[in-house]
Amino acid sequence: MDKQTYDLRGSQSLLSRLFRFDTEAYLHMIFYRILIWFSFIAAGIFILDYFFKINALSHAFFLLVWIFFTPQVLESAKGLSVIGTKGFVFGYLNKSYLTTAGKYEKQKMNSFYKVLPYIVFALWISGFVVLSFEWLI
Amino acid sequence: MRESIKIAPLYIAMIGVPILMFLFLLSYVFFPYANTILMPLIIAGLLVFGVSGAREVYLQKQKETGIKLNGNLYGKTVTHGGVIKENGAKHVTVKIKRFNIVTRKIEPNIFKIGADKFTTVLDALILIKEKKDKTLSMRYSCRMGICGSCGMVVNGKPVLACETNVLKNAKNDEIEVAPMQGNPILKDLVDDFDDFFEKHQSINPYLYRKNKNEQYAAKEEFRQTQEEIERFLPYSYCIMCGLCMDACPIVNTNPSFIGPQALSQVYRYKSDTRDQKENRIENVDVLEGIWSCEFAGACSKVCPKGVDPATAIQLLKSDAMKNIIKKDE
Repeated sequence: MDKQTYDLRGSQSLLSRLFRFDTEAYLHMIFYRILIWFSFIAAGIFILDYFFKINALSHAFFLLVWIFFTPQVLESAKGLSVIGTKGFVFGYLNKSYLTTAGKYEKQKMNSFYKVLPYIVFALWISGFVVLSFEWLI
Repeated sequence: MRESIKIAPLYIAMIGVPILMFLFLLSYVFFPYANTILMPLIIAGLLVFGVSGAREVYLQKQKETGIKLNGNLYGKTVTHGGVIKENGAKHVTVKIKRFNIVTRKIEPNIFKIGADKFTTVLDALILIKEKKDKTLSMRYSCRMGICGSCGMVVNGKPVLACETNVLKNAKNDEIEVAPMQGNPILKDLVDDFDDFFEKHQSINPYLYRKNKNEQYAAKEEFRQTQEEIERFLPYSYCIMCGLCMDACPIVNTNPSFIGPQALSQVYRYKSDTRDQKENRIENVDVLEGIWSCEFAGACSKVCPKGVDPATAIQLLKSDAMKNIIKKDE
């Protein structure tokens, strides 16, 4: 008799499963999915802006794209830190391994990589604030 | 209470043995030929005294705590009815979302059980299967977080049932258990791991030597420095429980993605200096390989062994980029 299975995989709605145990990942995934579709609309608005000079609308869309892109920037910076430290910073490596390997793996740049995502995030947010004041207020 | 019952005969023995010895000596002084009759009588008396003493202690404790010992669950004091006071035990509602093979739907079943501070989700499920619903299906083996068989979703989080405490995870005395959705479901809480193992097998998860004699009949060990071992060690802790696959949002939405488990093993073998397979990175340097990973990081957060597949995949991406740069040069 053939094995009968039931495959729930394949639906984008399953992203919501993340919300119950990893909110950061959930926001990251949701913002990225929104960004995919939103960037098409934003691109259309930017093209229209080139012909019809709808500055306010294009600026508002630019800032919305900026917001939706924020988790990607933060996660990319974290990814860079993870690669740079081989998972010692922002990683979830086995704790006993970290204790023993820490003796051999003394990375001087670890403290830099620890703050790197926050520096990038702060710069990203300040860019958003500056542009908002410049364009909308 | 069980402690008290174990201790009671000890007290009796502590008092009884000196008395026995005294009587034995006395019998030799006064009745040198009668001790063969006297001794069995003394021993029988002590046995009766010991058993009745233990029973007294048992009844006394039962009166004090209201706990019946007939519902003993693997050495832990749990009741299935009366008042529960010991070990912070209380009644918990277990909501099991089971996949019904007839209706082909996930249907919730609710059970009420007694759980103490040591009860794990696996204990609760075994109890339900033994006492309440014999049709409940789940997969388990070692009960100590080594075999990786009992992966399931508890309160929305993929976990090993044997390592998850019921009372710590119960919200308003209710706990929800569901099957993992990162693999096809077979029945109730049981997943089908065929796809999982196919993906694992596809990455050639073994050490490869170019020289076949070295591969199959090595005459000397392949020595490694401590630093070389540290490069792959945490990634070799994988117990193939499938929790990372269930947590991964990409596996959930795109089943063709090879997944964090297999990719972490690519990094494990690629980083091992004993391995001589050349195209490990090239094989996964495709859209359904490392480039499908969006670095959500959920796989690493749920890994019970600290394998950190997310880090492994980012390091593979970095190595793939380095390979491209090298080729261009």
